[in-house]
Amino acid sequence: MQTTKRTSVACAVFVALLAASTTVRAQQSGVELWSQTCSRCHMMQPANRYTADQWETIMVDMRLAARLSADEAEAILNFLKGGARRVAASGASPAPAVLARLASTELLLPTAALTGAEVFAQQCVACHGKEGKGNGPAASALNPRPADLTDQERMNSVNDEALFELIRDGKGTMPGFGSLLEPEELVAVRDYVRALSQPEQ
Amino acid sequence: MRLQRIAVGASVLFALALWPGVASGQGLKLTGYADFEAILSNVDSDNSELVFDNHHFNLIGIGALITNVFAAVEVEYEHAGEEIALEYGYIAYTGLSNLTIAAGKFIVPFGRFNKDLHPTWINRMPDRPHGFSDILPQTYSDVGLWVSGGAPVGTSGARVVYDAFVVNGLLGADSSSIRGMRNNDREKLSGGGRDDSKSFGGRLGLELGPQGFDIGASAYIGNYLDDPDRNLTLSIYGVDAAFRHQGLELRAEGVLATQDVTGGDLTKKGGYAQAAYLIQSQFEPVVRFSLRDMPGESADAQRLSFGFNYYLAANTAVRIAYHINTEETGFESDNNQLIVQWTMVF
Repeated sequence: MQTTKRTSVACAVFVALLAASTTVRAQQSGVELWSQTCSRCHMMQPANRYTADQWETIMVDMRLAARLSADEAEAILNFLKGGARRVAASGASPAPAVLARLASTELLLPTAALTGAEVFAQQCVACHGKEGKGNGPAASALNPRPADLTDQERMNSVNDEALFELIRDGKGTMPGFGSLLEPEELVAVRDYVRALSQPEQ
Repeated sequence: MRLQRIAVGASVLFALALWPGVASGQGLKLTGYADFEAILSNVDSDNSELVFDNHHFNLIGIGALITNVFAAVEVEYEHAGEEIALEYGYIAYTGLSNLTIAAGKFIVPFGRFNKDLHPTWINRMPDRPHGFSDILPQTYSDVGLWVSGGAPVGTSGARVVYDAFVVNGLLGADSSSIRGMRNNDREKLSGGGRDDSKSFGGRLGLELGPQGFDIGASAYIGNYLDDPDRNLTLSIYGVDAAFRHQGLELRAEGVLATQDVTGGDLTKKGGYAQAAYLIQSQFEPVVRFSLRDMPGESADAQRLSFGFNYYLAANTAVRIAYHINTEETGFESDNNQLIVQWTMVF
């Protein structure tokens, strides 16, 4: 019985200490947390599998399942909502809701526009990899796999306008970033992605 | 009684099936998973037999109608039989940054396999490894309080995660099997029987994010005897580790139980090591070795499993596994198994 009492006291102290650390903030972006946390258990589910409302409910439960802090769960949710399936019947887009939430979220909304390289490092590397070859940490669990952005033939088949729209709206398992990035950041990251497939001058 | 159970179960399923339509846009979500198996046992003998099994058809409901409070329930229809059981059903509070509090019936957060990895759409093999049936009686759900959370450590992406619980606990007779201690009937005990002691435990883990390396240690401690005048303790300890890089996933987990019995104690050990490699996000060869070391050699067993998974999509897989079983029971000298499973989360 002594053992049981000691264990319960130890557990209570430990939980109290962790609960007291309410000022600890997430250090990573939503896409980084998504790529590292969700694949700890299961295959990555594409953002467009569910609507923004459904992701909101799912992430409440996933916060408990994946032992996420409140701001970690919020960061992942914001990322997933960016690529969530649109609800045609109501004509509603999650974008306004996402933008409203982002206004109070310092994790993903920068105060100044980011360069293409910075956006790529923050939002794209998890799936496409540092060099854009489609081999980021989350790539192996995605079906289909992320595109190889260094494939010159593939990239040349997409003009600048189509590439911009693809980044903004998403395609397949890739979420759209139109609600997460400023228009100039979308242009910047498009140009950065474009340069990955061009031979060095 | 049987008809009554079926009627109640069918009503629950029907209500859940209607739930999405009724609750659309109200913060309610119905999800779940299902699987179908064809199991060929005693493959190498003249007594081979083929059995179809609808192992799971589980419906999960999540409701988040109030800020910072949600409820979750999983209704399990198992083996296509007459039983429809509640795998879990709890209410949780998420208003604290690094702590979530849940109350109700939940899957006991011990190790990784019991709580996180056992659903067939997640598990890389069609069934559970040795050690997670007889020692940690997966899937083990219990009623009580559960706190859980995590926090980043430093700036490298590492996180510390924790679970702690207090539950009614496993309950059985002196020397009884641990698996048989689940699902104890509390109503039967009212007005007598067991004392009011509770069981405690939890898991402490470290996740090294970008490196894909996780480690954890778990404990469960409590009195298991249905007798207020006697105290026999059941202690279960576990360790787990995992490493992921690109498509490679290595995972191992061990459990050790010490069960007090009249005149001494019993020691039970088990665990598994597993390697999987996901190719092109669709094809996944898997190999797993698991064993259990029980009191008395007759219950010892080892299993070497080779598997291959084909992912039709991120939420649907066909798994094929071949188990080479080595048991010390004497009469089952050749009971290798071939299992084909189709599993889906929806």
